[in-house]
Parts: sequence; structure tokens; C-alpha cells
Amino acid sequence: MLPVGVERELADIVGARFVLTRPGELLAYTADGLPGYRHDPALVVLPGNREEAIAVVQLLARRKVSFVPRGAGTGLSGGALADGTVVVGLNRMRRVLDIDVVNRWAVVEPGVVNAHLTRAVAPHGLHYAPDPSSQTACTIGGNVAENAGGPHCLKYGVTLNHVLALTVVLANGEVVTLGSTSGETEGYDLLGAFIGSEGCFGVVLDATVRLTANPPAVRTMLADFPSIDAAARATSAIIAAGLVPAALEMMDQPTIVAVEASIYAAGYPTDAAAVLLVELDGPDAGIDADVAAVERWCRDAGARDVRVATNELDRQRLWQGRKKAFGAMGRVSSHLVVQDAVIPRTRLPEVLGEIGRIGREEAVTVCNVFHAGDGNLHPNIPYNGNDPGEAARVERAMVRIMDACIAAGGSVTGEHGIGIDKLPYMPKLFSEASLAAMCRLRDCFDPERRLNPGKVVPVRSCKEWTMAPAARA
Amino acid sequence: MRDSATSGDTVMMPDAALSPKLKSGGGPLPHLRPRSTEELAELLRHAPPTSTYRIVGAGSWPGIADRITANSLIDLSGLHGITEYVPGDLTLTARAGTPLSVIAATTAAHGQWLPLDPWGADDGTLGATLATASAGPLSASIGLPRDAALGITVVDAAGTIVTAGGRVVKNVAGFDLVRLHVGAWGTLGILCEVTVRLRPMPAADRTFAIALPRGARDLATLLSTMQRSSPAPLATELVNAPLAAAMGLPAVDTACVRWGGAAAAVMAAVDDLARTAHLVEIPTSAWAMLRSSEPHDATVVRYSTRPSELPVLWHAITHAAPSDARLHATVARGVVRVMASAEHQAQVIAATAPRQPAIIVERGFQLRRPPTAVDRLNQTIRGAHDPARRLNPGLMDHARA
Repeated sequence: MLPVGVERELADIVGARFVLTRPGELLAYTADGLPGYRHDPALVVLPGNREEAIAVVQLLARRKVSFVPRGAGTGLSGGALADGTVVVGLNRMRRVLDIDVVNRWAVVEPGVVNAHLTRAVAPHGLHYAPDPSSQTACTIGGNVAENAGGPHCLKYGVTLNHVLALTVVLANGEVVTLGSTSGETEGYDLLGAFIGSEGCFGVVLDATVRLTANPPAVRTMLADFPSIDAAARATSAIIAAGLVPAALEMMDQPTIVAVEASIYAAGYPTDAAAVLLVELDGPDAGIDADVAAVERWCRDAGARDVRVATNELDRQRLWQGRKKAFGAMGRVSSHLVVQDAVIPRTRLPEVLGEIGRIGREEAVTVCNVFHAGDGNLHPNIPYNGNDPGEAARVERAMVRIMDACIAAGGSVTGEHGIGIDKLPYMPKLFSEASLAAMCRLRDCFDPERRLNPGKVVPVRSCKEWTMAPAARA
Repeated sequence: MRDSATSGDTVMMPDAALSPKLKSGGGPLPHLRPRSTEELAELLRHAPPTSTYRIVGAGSWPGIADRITANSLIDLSGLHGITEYVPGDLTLTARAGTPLSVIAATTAAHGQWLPLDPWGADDGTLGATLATASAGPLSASIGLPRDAALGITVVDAAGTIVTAGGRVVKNVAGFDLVRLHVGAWGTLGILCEVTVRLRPMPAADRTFAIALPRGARDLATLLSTMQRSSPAPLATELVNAPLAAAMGLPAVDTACVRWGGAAAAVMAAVDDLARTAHLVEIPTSAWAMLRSSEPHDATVVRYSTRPSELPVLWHAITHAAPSDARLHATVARGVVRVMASAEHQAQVIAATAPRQPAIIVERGFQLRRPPTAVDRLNQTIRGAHDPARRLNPGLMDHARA
């Protein structure tokens, strides 16, 4: 329950129509992009500008109310859910404040949609490089909170590598600027620490992000393989040869079939065990030699066919199938679990084999669609959640897959975040002392732990930390 | 301006730690040389409460010893060696005391490199490079040291071993303690082992010198043409005449441009720029000479501005600096680094005031300014990790009230 009067005081700041309290209005905020978790917020407040956002956070600080910052709600780890607390939705703060074409950066409000930023700078031959598959809906503020990735992060890096500075309002209502356009700062790398903090360290008021010049030449290729193993070996060969493609994505047969049966059909061969989508970009000089080399490595690994997109429309179509693959799986069944493990790239053939084995043993369909070049797997399982037997098998398969990835020297999330969905895996990755060190950093930003409570680090770790103050010395 | 320290509200102070009475003791400090992470953790767990530590890698960072008021020394040269290197993964894990030169030799055999080029020589260690986050010319294209670090093992002031990140190239599991420790100068914990991202070595790696035009406008035109070349340069650094001479180049203000990539692509970029400027190819070793060209008795100050404003700032600084001062600029980041005496730095600071560059003193004195909210946050973090200031006392504490 919220303290008496908070709702009215919030309405005084943002206007009554931007404080949502009725169950029908709150419904959209009870879940994020990962179905399977539903939490009911106490209310949703939607500040319309920087001043309102600061006033809202300061009010919540004064009244000691917990809250969850939220962008478009496209997250895939349950990170933006509020269990009986306040959601601060930032979607109304959607202005591009400045585009500096000469120095190649833009200053944007947190609610600016990722793809809208690229659209805004396209006339200047520039784009914003991180491109999560949800980029037509997700916001820059949410990308910062999750340190979002995307297919082109293989060559261009993740959100962390593209944010120069942030103005944020901290839990206590103080406004600070982290980072700088030159990369020069005194003190600790608070910008680096903030990015990927999943809404636990503060609320972004504006972000200064790097803009990237569109490459003069782009070649997009689709290679078609008779086995997953062959596609995995081709991936390892390309990476080991020292070529850095702009993107190197893999889709297996269940994914191809789902995509081709949907409105996002991209012309993928449905009889292929796996396809690789490889994009090369850079100067005109030398790019066709690289295309020939990639084709050779794919064929050496056993590719049945390799084709290069012939025009921009063809290229867009190949990409659409990949970017909308999660959506296409939505047609297959009522529920979907989405995973985000990362493994060392040389372990791809072995781990993909293991995932296939686990799927067969648990009698579930694993759809693999992922950033092969980074070793960032997305083993997804569509299923009927209303069938308790099937749900239990899916759960068991997922735990086994994650354990296999951890055993291969991997991580449980490459770009989706821990949220609440991956909390159980954290103690498998980190010692109690390491989890406590994470809590210690959170406490520096938010000593009352009011921002996005219960996320990222298992509560148990934070509690134990609190109970053992002697360990702080 | 985004940066908190601008020349408008700063006062120069002599570095208190440089005065002899504050220097620690007369003789050499007790010297501890742990041979493993566990040994270091043990040592800190059982250390007397009054012990404070200066943390040393290769010991090659000039002037730093005078700023740290510690009564013992932890030498990390015993934490040495590459612990895991899988070339196909393009990742490498090494102990903190491993020199960059060892990593370079090992990875070059597989056509790979760790593109970190901190100021100083390559006998500097991996741990110190990340702890100081020293960003050399390659930072303009490849990124800051923070971008290379994937995972760390640190020992905190209480002797607890903490790991963060991992050995994979994408990882968002938990709060980002890797970024927290990179650039923390060992004040939040001692880096013991680091996993870094490697890159394939470019097939062609060529460097060219271009004599700078005199006027700021002509310089701006040249820089803008260079930055827009395709592929973009790996590094573009302006060096003034005295520094060029120290690098074995003709003693004129010079732009050094480095391109890497496929031979044909590099050639195309060179040919393109050669239409508007006179390029002279110089050996790649010029970069190592640039990085180690720092006079050990100089103070070092970095000024930063928007890259588009760099030509104007460069001119203001070259005019204000004495004729023998060495200075250079990382064009894509808009940073000018000046090596000169403290008195001359004061002249430069005064002369650049109208341009309002952000100013960071790397070595020699301190700038006093009113503490900001960010300073307070930094101090909260320092206090939470090392309340007794046992690790590198004197560093990362300048804004302490």
C-alpha cells in the first residue's frame, strides 16, 4: 500500500490523467516482453518532461516509496515489473534534444524509441548502432538500463560502447551527469557502472549517444546448412579467421519453419537444418574478397548453398525474418520461454549439440535463433503453459540448458538482463562474496534499495550482506 | 560543458602529497610480493589495521609514488603469466602483473592483438593499464580500456576475493563491477586477474605523417577530411614540433594517421587523402615512441573539448605553451595532452579559459574546486569499499571534504 496522499501529490506534478490507477489502465504494465510473470503495480506515473521526472523521483524519495523505472516494457527478463510498488513510465519523454552531425552524437530523452533515433539521423548518413530486435518499440532509456545488444553488436559493440554521457536522477533525487563526450572523467567510471544496472541505480533524464556513419558498402549473405553442427563450425571458422562481420546470426529449422509460416516470411529454405545470416560492411575496396572468403568457409563447413542479397529490398527481407523471429514463435503456441546464454565461441558446436540432446530428452521443441558470432545463444521453447506436464518439462530443459552453458564457461545473460527471471542462476555464476560486492555498489547509489527492488541480485545475498556489517571493514 | 572541472571555476594548488614532510618514512617501504590471488587475500585479511598499501605493477608510472601516502608496498610482479588463451574465442585471461609486451608477443603468433596502448612503455602491466584506464591513441577508434575488459578477479581491502564479468564477449549478468574497477587505480580493490577481448590484427597497418597547416581553419579542414576517410583511421594524433623531434620525425607540428584493415581498403584511404594533403609514410614504431616520450619531471594535464573545437583549442594551447613543451592531441576524442612545468601549465590553463575545456590533471599538482554531487557519490563508493583508506591512500580522494 502506498502512503496516504502520494497518488494526489503525483497528480499535482504530472496531471491526474498521467497517474494510472484503474485495473484496466494498469493491465499493460503487469508484464513485460517475457510472458509468464505478472505483477500488479500500485500505480503508474508518467512524467512528461525532465522537471516532472525529477519532481516525481524527489517526491518518492521524500515519502520513501519504492519504484520501478520503465521504458517500452519490451524487456525479456521481468526486470520492469512492479510488485505493489510504483511504475515510473518514461515513454512520454521522447524528444531528440540535439543532433550534432559534425561530432556525431545525439542527446535524447529516455523514452525515444531506438529505431526513431536512427530514423532522425538517417538524412545525415548516420545511425545508432545497437539494434536489439525490439528496436522498433524499445527505448534508449531501457537500452541503457539493460545494456542492450543486437545483431550488429558483433562488430559495433553493445550499448555501453555507444553511450558517452548520461544525466540521471538518483534515488535521493539528486541530479548528476555521468561520463563525458570525450571519455575524460575524474573519479570512478560511474557511467560504465550505471549502464546495465537495470533501473536500480537511477533514472535516465537524457543520454548522449554516439552516432555511427553508415558504411559505404554492405553485403548480406544467407548460407544454408544440412546440420546445426555444420553451421556452428562455419561460425567458428569465420571468427577464427580474423574477419569481423557486422553481424553473424544463426537460425535453426524450428525457427525457420516458424518464420516462414508467419507474415514475416523471408524466403529461408524450410528444409535446411540451419541458416547463417552473415552481414559484411565497410569500404568498397576489399569487401567482395571478404564475401568470397565467407562463402568459401561456409561451403568448406558443408553449406548446401550461399546466396548474397541482390538489392536493399532483398536484404531487408532477410533481416526481417531474423528480427521478427520471436514474434513468429508467438503464432506457434500460447507460451514462450526466451533464454539469453553466452558461451565461448569455440564451444558452439558442442553446446548446440548438447542443447539438441536436452530438447529430445525432455520432449520439447527448442528454437535456436541467436547471435552466433558473439556466442550469444537464444534457445527458446514455445509450449502450452496450461499443460502442467509440458510446463514442468520446459522448466527442466531450461535449467539443464543454462547449466550446460555455465559449464562451458559461459554466462546466463548476454543482453536481456537478470531481472527476476534469471535470479536463480546468479549463485551458480558468482560466489556469495561477489554477489555481496554487487549489493555494496547498489547501496552506494540507493542505500534504501527503493529502485527496482528484488531484481538483479538475489535478495538473500543482499540480506546476508546487511547482517554481516563486519565484513565491510 | 558536461565535465565537472572546467577552467572557469578551478584554482591551482601545489600537490600536498609532493611536500617532503608528507612523504612516507625515510627508507624503502616494506615490500610484499604475493605469488597468487589467494596469497594476496590472505595477506590483507591478516594485515595489521594500521597498514596502508601502495600497489605497484611494473612501477613505471612516473610520479605516482609521491602521491600515495602508504606505509607498505604491494608488488604485483609475482602475479605473472597468461592463464588462458583460446585464439578461436579471441579472449585472453592473464594475471595482473603480466607485461603488455608478453601478451603482444603471445597473441601476435596467432594474428591477434590486444589494442591497448597506454601512455608509457610496453613493459607496463595489464593490471596497471586497466587500473589506470590510461587511454592512448587507439582509444579514438577502438575504445577506452573499459571496453576491452570482460572479466576480473579482485581482492578488496578486507581481503575478500570478488569476481565479476566472465570470459565471454557479451555479458550483462549482475551489476557491472568490471567497469567499476577499471580506472579505479586499485582504490576499491586490487586487480589480480583480467580477461580481455582481443581483435584480429589488421592485414595492413600503416602510419603516415602530415605536416600541419598553420591556420586553425585549414587544420579543421584537414582533420575533418581525415576523420571522414573510409575506413576511419585507427588513430589520428597531432604532435607539436618538439614532440615530433623526440619521435625521430622532422621538427614540425605533425599529424600522425594510422590506418588498419584490408590492404586494398587502406590503400584507397591513403590515395584519397593524398589528393588534398602531402603524406609521408613513417614506421609504426613511431607510436611507441610517442607513448614513451614523456619527460619524467614534467607535469601532465589533459584538456578536452568537442572534437570540432579541437583545432581552435590546439592553437590556443600551442601559443600559450613554452616552445619546448611537448603536446599532442587525440583528434577523435577532442583531447589535448600537455607535458610542461607546473608554471607553464598555469599559463596554458589561463590561456584556454575562454574556450572552457574540461581539465584533468594527470600528474604534478591538483585543481581545487567545489565538490559536486558526482564527487560525493565517488566518495561514498570509496568509503564503502575501503573505509580506512588502506589501498593507494591519496588517490581518488582529492575532492574529499
